[in-house]
Amino acid sequence: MRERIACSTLVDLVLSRSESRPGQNSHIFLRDGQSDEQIITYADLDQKARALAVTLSQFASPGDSVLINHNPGLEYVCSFFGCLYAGVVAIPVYPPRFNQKLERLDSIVREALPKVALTSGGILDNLSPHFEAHPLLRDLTWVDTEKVNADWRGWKRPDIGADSLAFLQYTSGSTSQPKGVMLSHGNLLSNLECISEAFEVHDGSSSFSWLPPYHDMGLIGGILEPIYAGIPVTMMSPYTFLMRPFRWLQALTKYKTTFSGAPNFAYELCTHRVTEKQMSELDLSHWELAYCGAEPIRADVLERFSQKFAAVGFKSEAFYPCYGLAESTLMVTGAHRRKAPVIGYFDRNQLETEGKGVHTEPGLGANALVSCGKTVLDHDVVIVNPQTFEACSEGTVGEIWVSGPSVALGYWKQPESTSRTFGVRLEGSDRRFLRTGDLGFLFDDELFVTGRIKDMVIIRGRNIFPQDVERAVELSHPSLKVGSGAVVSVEQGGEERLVVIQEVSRQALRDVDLDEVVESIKSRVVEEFGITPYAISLIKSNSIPLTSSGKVKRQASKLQFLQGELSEIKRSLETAEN
Amino acid sequence: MGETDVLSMFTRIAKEVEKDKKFPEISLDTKISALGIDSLSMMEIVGAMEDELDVVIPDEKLATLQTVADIDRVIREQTNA
Repeated sequence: MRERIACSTLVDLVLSRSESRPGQNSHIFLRDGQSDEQIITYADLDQKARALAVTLSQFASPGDSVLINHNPGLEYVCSFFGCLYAGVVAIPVYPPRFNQKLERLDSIVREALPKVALTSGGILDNLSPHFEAHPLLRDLTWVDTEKVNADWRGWKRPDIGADSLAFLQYTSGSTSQPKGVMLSHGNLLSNLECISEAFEVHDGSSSFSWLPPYHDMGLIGGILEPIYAGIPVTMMSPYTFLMRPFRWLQALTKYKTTFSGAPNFAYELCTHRVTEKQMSELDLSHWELAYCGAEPIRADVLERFSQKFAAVGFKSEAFYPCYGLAESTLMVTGAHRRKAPVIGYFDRNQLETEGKGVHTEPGLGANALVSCGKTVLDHDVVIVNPQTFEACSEGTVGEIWVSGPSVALGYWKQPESTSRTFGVRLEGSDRRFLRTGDLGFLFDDELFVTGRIKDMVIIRGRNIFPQDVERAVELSHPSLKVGSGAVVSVEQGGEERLVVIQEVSRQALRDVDLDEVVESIKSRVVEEFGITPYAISLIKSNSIPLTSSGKVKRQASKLQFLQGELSEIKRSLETAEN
Repeated sequence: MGETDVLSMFTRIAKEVEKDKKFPEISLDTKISALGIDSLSMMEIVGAMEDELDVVIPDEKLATLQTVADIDRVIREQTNA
């Protein structure tokens, strides 16, 4: 049995690793996704973090926030720890991608008011042409971490403890109103302990991650957990994976990795894209634990992956479905180690109309749901009726509520949404819970996630806010009516796909080219969000379902779309499978 | 490597990746998003081009690609580097 690690901050964790095993590899980054290794040891990480903290102390005081804007890689890892070593609040953000607008970054900066930004590589060159339009970004002190040469010996440990704020996870909220989840050192250490316990870390364990390092799964699971567990981690860029999914499995083969995981879509991508010839180079027999989370998990996706890769040593017992969210650090529930995923077959009709999980035989009327397992150490999950706040009985679908030491401190500078989300009490109890906004039920103590209360769409593990896409659609063509569209998701071919429903104004209808309108919407959505809509449905003016106060009802619109009841004037379906 | 070569390579691979799509005439200035190619397919296409040309385009340059001419430019920068 492993002993719990006695330290109260992540700074103390790295200090103790660097003291006891200075020469051990902490992080390896594969620049080309194959053999071009960049390596840092625990001692390197400690020294680089000290030097960065010394530099940061010239521009920021403990408690200030600092933006981290790097490509995936070791500079990113060191900058994150540099912030912790300086006692400042780290805000990791995605580097600007494609033609995506800088509005989200701008709103984050406007809200969190960092003074300094750490960066490297060519990111600043990509950003600076936009500074004219974004003076808040221009006015930051940009520090190129590759040029930092402060004397690390000048570092003094900041006065921080378990309750101190470590970083802000900006994954929640829409573009215009991003929400920064506040995570303390204590939150992080609690969840890292839960993960180590659940994964059953041992001497031969090792980890691999290509996940984006900017938030929960990639940062906490990919970068921090290996340090906590004292095991080496090899990393590569998400771009490398997306370009050649084979590189992931190739690296697991080369490094004999035991722990690695990704959202559902990544397993499907491997099943589709890895060729027979590439298969002959693989050996996945060391892969003990393949976690899967961050988006709905599909039984058929896991099964196809298992079937294909069994020939090269992959064991279906390695699959480890889990459930979690940024508001609870990372992990909330996880499956059984060394057991194939539990697939429950539930009566579809009972599930959809009664909100009840009733076991049935596999077949046409059954929904195959993948269990996300049991609650992790020291935490509680309850299923609650979201209207009455009363606990649901076993098998009844309700909102998933969580309590425990990994539940975050709240949203940065947003007391109202913090108390709405983090401060809720169960009817007849004094305990505080986190409302996740996700729906599910418990069956034999196993959590089955069935959907969401909010209208959020999750595509390839990314949270997409319908209001952001709706706004982009409205602006894409002058014939479209403002505030008269709905963006929803439907299940298609085993994954969540985007559907755009939008009214065309009556005046425009006479002489507008509807194919041109469809193309405008499509290219705007692809350009801003990188996603091709599965369907675009143009409908008559004043026909979209509205609430009494005139707001679009997304779920009602979705139902009408599925049942063919919209007043459609044009429907365009994307037939290509990608 | 001439511009037309990058263009014809892009067009050929895009058709392989997006088998069911009918593309209009693709030129150097065509916005890739206007072809309905999403970020996932775009990565697959660029990855295949990297393989054929034996170049590696760094992440921050990948982030700037919007047209075939952009791909042509970054490939040129990498081969001359």
